[in-house]
This record gives sequence, structure tokens and C-alpha cells, in this order.
Amino acid sequence: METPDRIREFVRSNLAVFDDKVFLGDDDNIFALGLVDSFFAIQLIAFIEEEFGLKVADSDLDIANFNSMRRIAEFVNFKKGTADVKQL
Amino acid sequence: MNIMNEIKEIKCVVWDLDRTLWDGILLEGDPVSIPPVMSNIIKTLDQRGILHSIASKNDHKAAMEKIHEFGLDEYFLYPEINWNAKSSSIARIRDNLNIDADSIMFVDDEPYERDEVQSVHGDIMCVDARDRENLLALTRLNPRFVTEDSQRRRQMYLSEMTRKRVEDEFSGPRSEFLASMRMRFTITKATEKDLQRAQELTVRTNQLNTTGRTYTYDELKEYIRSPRHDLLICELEDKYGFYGKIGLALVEIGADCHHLRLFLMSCRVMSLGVGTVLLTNIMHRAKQSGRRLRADFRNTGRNRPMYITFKLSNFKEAESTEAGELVLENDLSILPPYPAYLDLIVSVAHG
Repeated sequence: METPDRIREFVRSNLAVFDDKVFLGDDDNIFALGLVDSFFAIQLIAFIEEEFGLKVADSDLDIANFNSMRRIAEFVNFKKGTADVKQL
Repeated sequence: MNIMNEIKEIKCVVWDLDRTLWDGILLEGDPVSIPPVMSNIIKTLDQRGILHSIASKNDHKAAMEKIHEFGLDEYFLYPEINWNAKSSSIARIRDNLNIDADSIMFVDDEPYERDEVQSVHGDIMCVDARDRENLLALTRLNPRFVTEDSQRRRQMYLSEMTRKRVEDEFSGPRSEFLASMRMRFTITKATEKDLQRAQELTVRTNQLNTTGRTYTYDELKEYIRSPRHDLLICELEDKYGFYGKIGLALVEIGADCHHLRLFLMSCRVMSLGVGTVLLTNIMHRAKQSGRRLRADFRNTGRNRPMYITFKLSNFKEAESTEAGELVLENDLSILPPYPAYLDLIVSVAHG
């Protein structure tokens, strides 16, 4: 499936502390692990809106929707109206 | 405290070249020269902390050589000298400098070019080159404060350009690149000598500003004396130079609560991976003091990035006022660590 690959690529290339030695799993909490580069959140929301043509509403802005690559993919699928949550 | 509604100060003047910055038309073989009055305008505005750029339909090499001849090449950031529509040149300058269109002034002798730019960027102030010699007197080109930081502004952008080029050429992980910058991030309580810059930050910062409130010098002075407030200011330097004072926060210290009344960061630090260090520090301090952390947020129409930052730092909406202002609260259950790639120096006595 295409969506999670694009999300993986974005997350991995924009996390400051990411390097080849660190494995970031689809369920790892990217905020709690200290992997996040300051304004990563702003970049992430801009990426989701541009890449998938979605509008992220204020009420969607809950850390729980974005704290792992799987949650981000689920959120994107949910917003796209494909309510069935697909596997990564 | 005021809500910003006055006409905004100009941050960058974008110049046409032929018959605007200089007399004559370069490619028609005219003996063009930049008159001393124009050199003086460029240098004077630069001293006031106003940046310069170029949008000219011309031969890039020939035009830059001419500017170099007059010793002004270091004054123009991200010059756009090509055959593209000037509206698109200006859009690139705006994006490269990371400023809003309504803080740009465009000077050109051709009505057609001014109209073309205006039709795309309604907020830009377009000026006829015939008026060029009167520019220094314009209100919008006379900032209320000229601080050490404003005078260094162009140098900071030049270091930023070097840094970006090095980053583009860097092939390892981003963390290694950031570590190689040897960044030093300092958080201190503001003192009286910081107040002009603090005031300037509240006026100039739009996107990364939680309330858009501006404060007078005297109001800020009260806060640095008040035992119930911490006015925090931070500065950044790296191996390419000094970025100056780039962030500000006003924390009200209550009996059981730290209340963040204002938090702002200069847009220049967006790409440097240091944007939330100050917020992280404020979260850690509230946790250490055993108090709750609350924060004001006021939607100014352009500061959604700050709302996103709060929400994805685990702030939740606690209250909203009739005026549409929000109070957010953070239960401090998720405390982000500081980035490993910078040296953090905090000298803030606990209030």
C-alpha cells in the first residue's frame, strides 16, 4: 500500500535524530522517544495536508493521532473516508 | 499590550535594476552607474535592519558584475535576475527569506511590472522608481527600534545561506549534520538591555507567535522586575555565526500554576531544529516546580503553526473566552527530551 510508504519516508527523513543504526518501527512513539526535531509537528501536518489533499481540523490535532507511523497512516485513511483501517 | 493592527514595517525592499537601482539600461550598452544617493539608501536601510533583494529581467552575470563594481553585492539576498515574471521572482524571495508578502516593498520604474506584481501579491507595497530618492522618509521604512540584532540581520541571513548550502551538500543523517553545526542555545531571564529586542520580537514575529500581543518597553520592564513573572529570552549561535536573540517567553508564576502568556520564536530558526527547545524547557521547569502548566493562545489568522506545536506537545484546550482566546493546559505526562545535537545553557533562577 502506497500511503504508509510515503509516510515512512517523510517521517524518517525529517526526524533529526534518525540514522541508519536506529530502527524506527511502525508502532514506536515518535514523540515520546525524543526523536522529534522541534518543529517536526508543523512539517508533519503540512505534509499530510499537501501530500494527501486533506484538511486537518483543529479538533484532529491530538497527539494520539500522530504519535506513531501507524497512527498517522490510520488517521490519513480515516480522513480520506476509507474508514476501514488498513494494515501498514 | 496591543493587538497588532497598525501598518506593518517593511522587512525587505526588492529592487528592479535598470532605471531603478541604477540609471540607464545595462543590456542596451548604456554606461550604467549606481548614483551615490542610491548606494546611500541601500546602506542606510541595511543599518536599520531592512533587507534588500532584486527582481530584474536581465543577464544575471552582467548585472551582478555591475553591482560588484559598486561594492554592493553583499547587500542583496537571494537576487532574482532572470527572465521570469517578477511576481514569481518575488514569491521565491519571500519563501527564501521566510517573510510575509505584506512586509515586502517592490520598487520598479515600469508600471506594467508593478501591476503584474500587485495582481498576484495584493499585499505588497509597490513604489514607482521616480520616488526612489524619498524612500528613506517613509514610515514603513523607519522601524520603531533599531537594535543590535537588526543591524546584524543581513549577516545572519548570509550565515544562514552558507549553512543551507553546506546542509544540501551533506550526505549523512540529519542528526550528524545538526551536530556538526556546534549549536549553542542559551536561555536567560531578560534584563533591561534585552528589552528593545524583546519588544521588536513581539512586533516582528507573526507565524511562530502564540498570541500576537505586542508589549511596550515599560510593560516589559515591569515584567522583568515582577517576582511573579519570568521573561525568558534565548539566543543561538553556531559555527557559522551568531543568530542573535531568537525567542521570547513570558511566564506568569502562580501559586499552583505556570501560565505561559506569550511564546514566540523567530521564523529564521524553523529549519535549525531548535524551535521547541524553549517550550521544552518551560515544560520541564513547570514539572520540576510541581505546578500545572497553562498557556494562552489567540488565533491571529497566521499563527496556526504555533497551535499545531502546542497540540502536538500534548496541550489540550481547557477554556475559551468569548473573545475567542484559548487557554490550553498540559498535564506534563509527556516531557520531550532536549535534542542531543546542541549545547543548552540555561541560567534562570527559579521564580
